[in-house]
Amino acid sequence: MTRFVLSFTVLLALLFTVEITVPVQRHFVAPWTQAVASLSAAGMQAFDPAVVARGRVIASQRSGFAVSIEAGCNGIEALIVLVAAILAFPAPVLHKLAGIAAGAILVQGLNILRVVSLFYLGQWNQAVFEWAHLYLWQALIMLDVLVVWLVWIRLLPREPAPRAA
Amino acid sequence: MPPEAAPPLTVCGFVLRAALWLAPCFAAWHFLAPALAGLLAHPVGWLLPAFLGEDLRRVVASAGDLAVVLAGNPAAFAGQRVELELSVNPRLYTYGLPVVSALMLASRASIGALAAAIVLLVPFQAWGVTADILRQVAFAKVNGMPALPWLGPGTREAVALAYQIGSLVLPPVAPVVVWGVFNARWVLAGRPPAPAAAPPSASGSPGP
Repeated sequence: MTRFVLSFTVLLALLFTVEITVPVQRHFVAPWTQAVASLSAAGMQAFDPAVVARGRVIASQRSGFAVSIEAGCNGIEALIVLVAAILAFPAPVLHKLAGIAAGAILVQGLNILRVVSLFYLGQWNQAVFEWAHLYLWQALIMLDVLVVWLVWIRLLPREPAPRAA
Repeated sequence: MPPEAAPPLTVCGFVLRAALWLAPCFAAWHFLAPALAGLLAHPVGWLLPAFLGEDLRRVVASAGDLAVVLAGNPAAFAGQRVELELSVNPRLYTYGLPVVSALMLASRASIGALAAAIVLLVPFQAWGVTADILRQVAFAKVNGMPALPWLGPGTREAVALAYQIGSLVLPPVAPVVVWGVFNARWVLAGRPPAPAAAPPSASGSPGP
């Protein structure tokens, strides 16, 4: 347990340090954030054709309301926590990679749901939008990471059998 | 007649229980926010003097926010001593309280364990609030000029990093980690156990 906590903490610090560097921000985080905006807008356009995405901004051409996806809302921090938790846990490498890939899809899926819900909440009530944006969804995304990690642990193969004495 | 032991907690059961506890825990946190701000003012008041020294006048809770009053000599005021009032929304750093509460209650923790988990979050919350105040101080401008021109770029970068950690990482991650520490056995028991080792053969002779 101690080794897991230490490994997790070191990996978390390392991944966040890498994430805030200028090359990673320019070549990974910025395109990823724009992709989140585009995917969210594409989903909304299925029932609301007035929604458009420009870069990291999603706007409604009908109401004029717009949101910009910034750090903390692009799902990358949540993904970093999941990656650190999976890498720190003793498991076969292939299972770790599969967990990271599946977890990335599940976490980003919920993140897109967050963006869509906040976009419409903001058009309805600013106070509720602020509350959901700053507190509730931050908690829900991290709980999603926890659940994905717990399920991944339960899907791991059996631990190796101990040698007979 | 001894009480029946609670059935073992499955992931599905845990998630359902956590989801049900989340709403009342968030409601309680929302209504207790002003009182929580008052409590958080104490550890923040202990931390800030280490960075701001005599310039710190007071840290007070007001209508759920934390107000920090500093006395400074901004360059724009040609050395004249002025007071700066900064404000921080402590909810940005304390929303982990309902999260850890819901998780602990969902995993059937005792009241003592729940209280301990809540107390363990305080240092992380104090970090976030302190870093927020230091960020406002380090990047404050008066009449378009830096309020603290003597602050070097390295120090400003360190403050910015501390603020990013305190605002983006610690508030959502710390409650989950604290819960994990209290429930490590249940978490680790989730992996299918190793099969029992086969007993050695009766003759003890090696196979062909």
